[in-house]
Amino acid sequence: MHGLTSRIALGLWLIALLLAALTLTLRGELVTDLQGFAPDPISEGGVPLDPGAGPAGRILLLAIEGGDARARANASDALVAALEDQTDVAGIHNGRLNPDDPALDFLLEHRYLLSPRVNAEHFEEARLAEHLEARRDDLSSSVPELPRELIPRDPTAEIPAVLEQLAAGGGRATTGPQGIWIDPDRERALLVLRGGADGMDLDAQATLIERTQATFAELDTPDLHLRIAGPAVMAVESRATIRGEVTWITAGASLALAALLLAVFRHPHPVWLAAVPLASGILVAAATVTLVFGHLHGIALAFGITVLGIALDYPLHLFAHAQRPRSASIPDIARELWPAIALGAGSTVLVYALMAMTGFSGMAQLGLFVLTGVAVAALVTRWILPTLFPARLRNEGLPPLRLPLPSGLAHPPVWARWGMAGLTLAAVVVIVTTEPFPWEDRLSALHPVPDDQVALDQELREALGLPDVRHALLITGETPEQVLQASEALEISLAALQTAGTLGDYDHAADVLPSQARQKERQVALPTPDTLRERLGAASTGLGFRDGAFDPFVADIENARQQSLLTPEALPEGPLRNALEPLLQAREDGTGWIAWVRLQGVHDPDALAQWADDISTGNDTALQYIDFFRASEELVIGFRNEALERLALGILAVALLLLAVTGAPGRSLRILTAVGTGLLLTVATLVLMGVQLSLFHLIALLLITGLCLDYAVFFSRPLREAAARLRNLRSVSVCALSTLVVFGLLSLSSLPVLQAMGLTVVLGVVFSFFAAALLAPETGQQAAA
Amino acid sequence: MIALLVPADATAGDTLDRILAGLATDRDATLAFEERRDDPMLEFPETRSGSLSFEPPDTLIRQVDGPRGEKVHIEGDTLTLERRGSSREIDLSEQPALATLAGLFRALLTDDRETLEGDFEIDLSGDADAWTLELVPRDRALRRMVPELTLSGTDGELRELVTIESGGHQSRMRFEPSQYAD
Repeated sequence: MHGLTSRIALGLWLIALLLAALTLTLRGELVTDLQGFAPDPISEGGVPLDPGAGPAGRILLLAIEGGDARARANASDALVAALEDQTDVAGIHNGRLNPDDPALDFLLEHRYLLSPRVNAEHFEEARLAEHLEARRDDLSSSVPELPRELIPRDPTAEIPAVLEQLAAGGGRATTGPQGIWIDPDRERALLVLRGGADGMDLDAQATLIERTQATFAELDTPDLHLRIAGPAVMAVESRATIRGEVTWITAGASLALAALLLAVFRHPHPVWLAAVPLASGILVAAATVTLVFGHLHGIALAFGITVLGIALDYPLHLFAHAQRPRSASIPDIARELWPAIALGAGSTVLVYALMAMTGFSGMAQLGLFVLTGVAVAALVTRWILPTLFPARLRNEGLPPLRLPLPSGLAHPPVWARWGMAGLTLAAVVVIVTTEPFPWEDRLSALHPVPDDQVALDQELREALGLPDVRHALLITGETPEQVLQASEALEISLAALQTAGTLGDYDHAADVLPSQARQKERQVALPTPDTLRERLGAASTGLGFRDGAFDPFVADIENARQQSLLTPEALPEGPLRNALEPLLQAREDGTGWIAWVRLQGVHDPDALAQWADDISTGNDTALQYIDFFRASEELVIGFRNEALERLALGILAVALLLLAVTGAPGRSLRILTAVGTGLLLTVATLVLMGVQLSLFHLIALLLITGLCLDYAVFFSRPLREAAARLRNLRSVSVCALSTLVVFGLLSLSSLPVLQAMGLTVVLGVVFSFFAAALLAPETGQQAAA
Repeated sequence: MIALLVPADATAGDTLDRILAGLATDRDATLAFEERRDDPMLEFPETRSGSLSFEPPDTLIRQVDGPRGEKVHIEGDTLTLERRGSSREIDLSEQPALATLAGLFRALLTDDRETLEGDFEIDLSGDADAWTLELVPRDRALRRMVPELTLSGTDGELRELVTIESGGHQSRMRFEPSQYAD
């Protein structure tokens, strides 16, 4: 009978592993970008507010350092030449206007529709006379205001006006003596590269970044080096960091654990046997998450494996109870321990089930992963592990543990309990009196991007005059014409805000591409050829211009009067399109268009929000003020509140479970008190250490709850024999030690997220262990005495 | 015949070195000039006189007299333009043609062959006694604005600079022998 049960169990286990492996092989997809794990804020209207997505996410900022200015300029030109024709490069610019660029001809041809100065007065005789006088100076001067070659076509200097308008939105980089963009200190040559692939297609971005570096290396300029910044670089780097860290932490933790187990159990078998429930748990959990979510996130996997450290406790309990001289056979020990293991595992599954039900995809994956893994590991420990023991070990038991424990632990002195109670009271005081509570609300604080990369990004962005994307107005409508007109309609009140000092400056799409209505107004304002010729004749009297010198100008004006009006789709690749794309976009779901007004120097966000609420844009468009930082902070706060709620609910649910299962209110109270004490002391210590508590500290607290439940359940087992109690103590101690080893390593990670978890869990294990030990029932002590 | 056997580059190099050595000065120098501009936009050519001064290490002053006269003062990367009694500062990088011209004169007067060859493709004809340099800007954008400069001189003195700009604008500056300000 016994043999049959274990054979069935073994068969089920093998089938489960096989199915899990099959699922992972056929459908397994490991996602490693941060986007899937950390949530993206969205506007009320459903527009994604992630500044890294969309056209802005495709931009790489390049800086060439070292050498002298000429060498940097040459390298900058060579890099442009080598990369501009690559298929995955939509454009690369170093500030040098390519005079043969067809996009410039397009600008020249459409200057009268694009120039903000065009109106009827602009071509009156008196204005023309002023312009012609200036052009006559230009012909004689060595410092012409307008390049001499443009004088016949463009005497009113519309082209510089259009270029200036364009440059205002697209960046305000300094052009150096070599004619390329440089930073204000003149120590770097700057370039802007627009990738062809989406910013969040990290494989494509990684390839592009590598290719850019390789192309630069081929220039063979050992004095110079290239630095690359931009949202894609941060995403790719953080992915690489995550991969690297996960690898070394997993390897390091496994080695350290193996060494610890070998030292404690003095036998090689427990080392690999301990891995069986854990490995089964990981495999089945990964397959379950893949089936439910369609993919498995790298961070969920990394955290999940780490958090599954709880699952390691179950076989350790079994080994610790199986030492010589053994009290029972190994299957019997497993059966004897099962109520405690099942209670601990069940409580943990309950807590993580609540986590699995959040809308935060990363957190939900982690929750599901852990609850599946814990359940599987507990079941494997109960029914599979005993049958896997080698026959000799099963018969003889393990050698006695090598685990010196202070005798005080088995019989904690009375003062220790009072001390613990006092400390807990102090912890409550610390937590309650810390005002404001040190929550970390910045989503960016969780991303593993090195500070110097962020600093470089900011520096280059500033040097290139690319706008800071924190404050913006979002205009939504059905057609580009609608949103452009709505944007133009804001100009007067935006100017009033500027005068009032609420706002420094702004850029909007209509500066780059006016609405068709506005283009039409300009077109109508252009004079007919006869009128223009007459005025030119009068205006040029006495200046010495040859007859017909301005014929090209008259022809261009006439052409502009007949031109078809510009639409976003009609713009060619080039500066105009580059400047427009970040500001005017079709919505991804195809339901309309959005236009951004980028705000700079916002001194009073509340006033702006109020202003945006009050203003009416009319004709089916909507206006909203967006603060990107605020949006992501609110998101973090929302999730934190949800996580806190879940923790509270989890503890309540666990209390009910304990009461229902043990039927002993005293024992349930002991267990819950131990858990509460462990959590309170951990939080208070973090606060005293000056740590900003993030979402991931909360996840760690959920884990501690699980660990502490396990310790408290074991410590509170009603055992009569002193030997059994000692075994019990050693068993829990081994578990706590192994968790300390794993999370101690984790707290050394450079990823803020992993470090937060590591540190929190280390503290939590220490406090939970002592809290559970001190709250153990005193019956044992009395019996021993 | 012997000259023909020597590689052309070497001969050119030697001559260019000698020309530059002859022009180099470490003192303030002023050249008076007559400029004639032929311009397709204008009915008649324009003739004016002026002076070009160099103050080591890198100050260059170009003064033109007459009704549309002006004084351009270039020091480092800063350009000051005085015209009709008012003066304003301009970033030299906004005037690439003038910046190149200033670079050309600085290189000529300080014997900086490296800069000269870095900025221009140089075609040298004649010998050190009577030479002509045809200079084509290497920078593509600049070459569009100023396709060619022709500089000629005798011994250690500049004689003439012809600048051809796109659109048919042409300037011919004739220099008078330099006067050193001592």
